Parts: sequence; structure tokens; C-alpha cells
Amino acid sequence: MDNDDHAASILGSLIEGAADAIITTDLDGLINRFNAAAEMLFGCAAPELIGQHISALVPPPRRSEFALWLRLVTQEGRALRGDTEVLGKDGQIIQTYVSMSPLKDAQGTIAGALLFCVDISARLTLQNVLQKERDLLEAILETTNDAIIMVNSARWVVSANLQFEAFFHLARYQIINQPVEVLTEQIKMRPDLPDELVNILLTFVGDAYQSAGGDFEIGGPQLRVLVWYSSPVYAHDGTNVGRLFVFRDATREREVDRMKTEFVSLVSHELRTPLTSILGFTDFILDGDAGPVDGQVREYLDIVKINTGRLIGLINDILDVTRIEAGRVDLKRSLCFIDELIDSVVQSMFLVIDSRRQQLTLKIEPDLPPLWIDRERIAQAFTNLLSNASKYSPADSELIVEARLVREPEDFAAGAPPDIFVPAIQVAVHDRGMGIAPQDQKHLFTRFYRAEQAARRQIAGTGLGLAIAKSFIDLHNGHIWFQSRLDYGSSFYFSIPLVEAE
Amino acid sequence: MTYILVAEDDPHIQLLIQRKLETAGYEVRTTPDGSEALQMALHEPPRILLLDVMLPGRSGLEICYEVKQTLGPKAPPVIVISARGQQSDVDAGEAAGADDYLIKPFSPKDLLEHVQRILGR
Repeated sequence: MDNDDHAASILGSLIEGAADAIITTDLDGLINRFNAAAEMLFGCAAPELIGQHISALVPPPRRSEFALWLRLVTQEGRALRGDTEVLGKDGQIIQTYVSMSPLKDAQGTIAGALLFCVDISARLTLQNVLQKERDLLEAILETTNDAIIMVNSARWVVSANLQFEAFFHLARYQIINQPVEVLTEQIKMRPDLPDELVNILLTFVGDAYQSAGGDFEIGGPQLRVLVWYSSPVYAHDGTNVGRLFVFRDATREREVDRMKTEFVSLVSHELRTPLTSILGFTDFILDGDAGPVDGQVREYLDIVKINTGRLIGLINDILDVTRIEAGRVDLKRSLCFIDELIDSVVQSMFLVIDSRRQQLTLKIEPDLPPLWIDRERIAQAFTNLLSNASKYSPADSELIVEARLVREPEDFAAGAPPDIFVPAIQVAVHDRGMGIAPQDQKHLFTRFYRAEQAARRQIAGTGLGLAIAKSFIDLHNGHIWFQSRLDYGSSFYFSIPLVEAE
Repeated sequence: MTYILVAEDDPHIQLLIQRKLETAGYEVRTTPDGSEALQMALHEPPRILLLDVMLPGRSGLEICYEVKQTLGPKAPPVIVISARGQQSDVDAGEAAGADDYLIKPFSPKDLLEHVQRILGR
């Protein structure tokens, strides 16, 4: 008897101290125990509910269901559990998880029902928020114009959006939750889809580090250009959860690019025809072929010639930029001596430099080895540097052109990029011009960028010369840099690596 | 083989080339039409053939190729004159059998030098 009392007391403490709401009923469903957590949940004191039928705890629409549960538990001895609603304080509805099981007496006969109730409204709210976010992400994924698939780190396709189906005409249900090989096998069977797509998927699928991208063409009724991008995806804790592959239809933009290039090219060529006559007849007269030319006429015609030259230079620059942008510069390399190249550029620029009464000094190291370069492009780059030096310097000032062999990193002029270490020929153009303000220096090689000083002094220019020079030097794996001080002058340098003797 | 044939459809450039070469003492015949240029070149081969690339009738490159194919070793030297200065264009000229390539705009002095260099060899 003491033992029973003791056990009952322990049980009572357990029930009262439990964090979950615990309720017991008799066989008729009348409440005979109601713990403190239940009081909290239902918002009323135990004495108010003891003796009441448990259906009073749930809202009217749930009552018949609850009565059925009670019958199954008390008459058939089953244990039930599930989500339901209960009535809280002032009739407020609370989402709960309820388990109901038979309560047996010492002889093992069912004496009533035991209910555990857990408030799950917080969990449901969180679930709702997550679901909404998931819906939102899915909506974004489904409405984007890019085709996107996600492959997890176990190489299974876990997600593919609507555009992915549309781009490749592959049914999602056949590839999602399948190894990536299921997808690649399907692609292989389709003659309109390129092998490159398979290569991209298989090359990068297991890669947790690299991002990669490129483009390829796919067939079908109309040839399309797809630009792709792939990168590893990391969870918030930094673990790799797979890889994303994104495909974008770039057909239209490539077409527009091509049209732009063609248009610029066409216009430039159309401009050359009238310029040929203007420049040609100016030269014809200046050469004396139309009779003697007196001093004043010669002076005026020289002005026509210089400006025609500028116009031609501008057209060539625009054409060059268009080609560089389109990635259509093929280098025609040959062995060239830099001193000869410098001489010929200086010759062609002589008239302009002389008209400004500037002195040009050449300091070319003797016996420089030849370079393996596209002569035209390097001459163009050098022309642009020399032309700038002259243009941004006052009349009667000195321009210096230097060329020398540089073998060790310390041979390079100050300001050279730190990663230079291959033997090269370094060409320098020094001027005593207006210099470049610090705020302009970092933008100097940007297309169409013009230094504020230059623009203010209304010195003609398009901001293309240095951008083009840099592109051409870069194409030769060379470097271009400068040192400048406002009102003191600038030094521009480029270096072209020597070819290794075989 | 006494004259220089110039096929150029822009009348002013045609005049420029003609006057420059005449001043240097050459006999020059001109045509603005590609088909006519081909006829003339095959019928009475000139000392040198100056061809614009974009001509009505036949393109300069076609004419060059035809003349070189038909006349073989007796074909006159050809200078192609074009507004297209890309390496690929120069290569196309070379493929058609052109001996020299001049890019517009050119100075007439350069043109004369090219002609004299070719005739001098």
C-alpha cells in the first residue's frame, strides 16, 4: 500500500511537472486530471474543466472526430496521434499535436484515456514561412529566362527549371532525382544537342571549387547560341552541396553584336572612299604634280593633310576597337626589328611633330634582337603613344623615345607591373607635357576615357588611343604602364617579351 | 603591253590614279565596270592591272583570278586596291593571285612607287 501511494505520488509529480499538456479522462471521456502545462495551453484552471467532457477542449467542427478518437482508444484500445486544433483561452484556436492512448488500471483494464497535447503553432508558422520562401524561390526559378539545373555533390540532378525543359526539350520528371548520367545519356541520344553540353556537365559536376563558363551552339529549327556558367554551391556552413549550371540564350545579343560590328565596318569603309580622293588630291598638289605650289598654299594644304590624317586615324581607331571588342584581332606575326619599326613610325609622324616645333630624340640601344610581333599592331600602339606625347606637350618641347633590352626585373623602368620577369624589349616615350592628374591615372586605359585636363584644354581626342595600344600590347603578352606628374610630363612604357632562341 | 589598266568605279579616285600615272609618263586606260575590265585585260593584256575590289559586274578579286588563270605566266602583274585593310582581306587578295595590295586611303606617291617597283623588276 505504501508502495502504491509512493508510485502514485511520483506519477503525480511527473504529470504535474511535465512540459507537455497532459489530460486524463474516464471511459466516458470526462476529464479527471489536467496538469499545469494543460492549464497554460488551454488558458483555464484545472477545477473548471475536471468533470467536463474532453470534446469541450476542441472547436465544434472537431468534436465528432475527437469523439471517434475517444471511442477507438477506450473501446478498442488503440493509440492515436495527429495534428488537430484545440480551444485556448477565450475560444482562440491553437494548432496542437495530440496523442491519445488508453489508460489502464492495475488489472490492465482500460479505465480511460490519456492525452498529450503539444502546441505546434510556432512550428507551423515556421513551416509556413519556409514554404513561402520555397514557393518564392521556385517562382523565381520558373520564371527566369535562364535554364538552370542543380546537381548535388552525389552527382544527382536535384532541380531543373521550366526553361531547362524549354531550352533542351528534355522532360524534367525523367531527369530530376536521377544521377547526372541519366541526363547525359539522354543528351547523347539527341542529335540536335551538342556533345559539348555533355562535356560541360561531366567535366564540372564533381568539382567543388572552380567556376567556369563559355558558350556553344545548339541546333534545332534555328541555330541558337547558349552562354553557360557553372559554379559550386555552398551551404551556409561552407560545405559544398553541389553545382549549379546556368544556360542563357545569347542568340539575339550575338546577332546585335554582329550587326553592330558590320555596321561600323561598313560605315568606316564607306568613309574611306571620299577620304581617298581628299587625301590623294592634296598629296597630288603637294607633290607638285598640278604645278608649282607657293608657300602659303602649301601651308594650307598641309593643314588639310594633317586633318585628313586625323580623320583616317579616328576611323581606324573605331574599326580597331570594334574588332577588339568582337575578339576578332588575329595577329600576323613576323620577325621585326624594333629600331626599324620606331624609325618608320617617326617618319610618318614627322610632319605633325615638326609642325609643333617639338624636338624628337631617339635613344635606341644598338643591336637589339628582333621581336616576333604583328608589326602593324605594335606600330599602331607606338604611334598612339608618340602621338599622345606630342599632342599633350607644348610647342618647342622635347620628346624622347628610348628602346632597350631588359633582362632582369630591376632593368625595367619604375612603375612596371611587379610580375614582369621575362627578358623583353622595353620602349619608352617621355614628354614634358601637362602630365596626368592622379584621379585620371587609373582610368587611363579605359575606352573613351579622357583626362579632365585634356578635355578642359580642348585637345582633340576620342579616348581610344591608349585603350587600343593596351589591347595590342596585351595580345603580345606584353605590358604597358606609365609614370606621370601633373605639369611636369609623362613617361609611357611598353615591353614585349623576347622570343626564346630555338 | 604598253598601257596600265585601272578598274575603279569611283570617278574621283579613278581620275587621281590616272593623273598620277600619266604625270609619271604612263599610258592609262580606265573603266568603272568589272566585266569590261576583264574583257579589256584578256583582249589586250596591259603592263599592269590596278583593280578596285568592289566593282559593279565582277569583283576585283574575281577579275584578278580569271586573268591569272587564263593568261598563266603571260598574265600582267595585279595591284589590288581596297578599302578593306584587314589581314584576312589582304590574304584573300593574295589567294586570288594579286602581286600587291594597296589600302585606301593611299597617297598617290605610294601608288606610283608600287607601280614602279613592280614594273622595275
